[in-house]
Amino acid sequence: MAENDIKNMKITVLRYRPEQDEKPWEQTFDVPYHHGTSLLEALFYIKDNLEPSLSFRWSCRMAICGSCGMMVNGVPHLACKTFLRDYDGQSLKIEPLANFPIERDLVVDLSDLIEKIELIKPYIIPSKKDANMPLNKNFKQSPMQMEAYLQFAQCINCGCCYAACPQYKLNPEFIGPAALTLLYRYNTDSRDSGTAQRLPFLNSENGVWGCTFVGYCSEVCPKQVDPSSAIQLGKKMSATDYVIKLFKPEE
Amino acid sequence: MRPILPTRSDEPIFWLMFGTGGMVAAWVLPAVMVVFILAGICSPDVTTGLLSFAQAKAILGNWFLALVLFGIVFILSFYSLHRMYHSTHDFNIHSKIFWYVCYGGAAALSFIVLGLQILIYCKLF
Amino acid sequence: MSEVKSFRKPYHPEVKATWWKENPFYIRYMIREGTAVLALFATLEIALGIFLFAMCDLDSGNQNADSVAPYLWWVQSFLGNPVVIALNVLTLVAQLFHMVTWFNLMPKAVRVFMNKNSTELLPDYVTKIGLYAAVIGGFVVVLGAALLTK
Repeated sequence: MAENDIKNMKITVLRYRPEQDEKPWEQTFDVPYHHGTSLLEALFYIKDNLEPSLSFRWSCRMAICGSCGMMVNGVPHLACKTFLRDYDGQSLKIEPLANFPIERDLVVDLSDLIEKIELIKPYIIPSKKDANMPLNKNFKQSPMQMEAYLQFAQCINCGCCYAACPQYKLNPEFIGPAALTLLYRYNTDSRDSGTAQRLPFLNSENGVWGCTFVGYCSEVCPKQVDPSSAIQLGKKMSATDYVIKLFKPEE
Repeated sequence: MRPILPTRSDEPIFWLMFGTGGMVAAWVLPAVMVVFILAGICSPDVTTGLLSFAQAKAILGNWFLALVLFGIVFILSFYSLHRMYHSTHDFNIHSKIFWYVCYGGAAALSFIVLGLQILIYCKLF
Repeated sequence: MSEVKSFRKPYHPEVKATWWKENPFYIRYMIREGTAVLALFATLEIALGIFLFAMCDLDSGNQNADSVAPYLWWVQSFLGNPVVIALNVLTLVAQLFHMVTWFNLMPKAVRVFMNKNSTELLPDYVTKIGLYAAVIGGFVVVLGAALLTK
């Protein structure tokens, strides 16, 4: 396929208008595309030319903001990072991110994800000794100490892993891949001393123990964060803590 | 005010057994199945052939091999029933009954096998 | 208080017990979990063999085909039954599938640095080679024990 060839693709979008619809319904559009057309641009085309009432979230267009997560043929993707050329000769079915309540068309209510990320204290909690450190002094960290958590710090909170997680689907109380990954990320950060505050969430039934290692979260993650790896490491952390507390109970 | 923290799960015990059992299932079960298939084909008798009575007696009468065999049965029953208990969740069945059925079943199976092995060991010597 | 009427009416899709049928990845996951049923079958086979062995007349020093009939039934008629042989072959295949999936995921639970001065992580294949080497070791030990113990 030459770079500038224009082709057409059938794109079916799940629509839901809370004012008038009882449940979602499908609408199909014929969208022209070329080598460089992303799914997000195809949605722009639909909104500009075919169906102005179509709602979807987007912002940066470059896989940094994490706004445009949606199901593409049943798989969670960022619309800006998905190209129509990869689906040449097929049709597309676009649905809002699975496992979240649908607010309107492709817009879902992500507040549960945000609340869970807040729950696990995703920020550096300094030790007592460092609490009053002057602002002109820095925490020192070796390259290795940074490497220990860096991969798990790349999360953009797009929600793709929650859409991919059957355990979150089956039990909405499950803290879920992204939040547990961030929990592990801060617990392994050498500058942080908040491990004891986060462990109760890690150790709970809805923490790492709600995971059965399906592994699909790592498969769909647009930033290669590998949440399932962080959760398994979290399980090791939780099991170690469990065994230690067996012999040395808390006060 | 202290925030309400979630309670600690006892899952680590079962997870550690599941992890060990999964390893054992990967390491020895394929070989055990090959032995069972070969034994099934060559139909051994009292003294000759794969898994003949004499050979079973040699394994169950040796305290070390008997202990290893018990360890395999114990860890595999907990491993498989742990996985099956979590599968009930995957089929959208959330009932504590299955917890008792699965882990109780694994414990019962291990106890029965241990009892039988002690009985055999005492009878043989 | 806001005077604006809210039109929010979030739609909650229903969770079906058949959710895993919609994605090949989930089907593979369910098969992976399903191999545990056959692992339980293999465990019950071993337990049955031990039970029937215990049912044999072990007190008399000299065993013959009559005094050890229960064990011989297990090893000849049960293990020799075509249906059981077929199930054992299926169990073998299932456990090999379990082994591959288990070893594919195992490196995710291992995060070690190459050495204490390096920021490079231990590559996944090193863990995998170790695991497969252990399987070959397991095969040698079990088959050796089965073929050599007299």
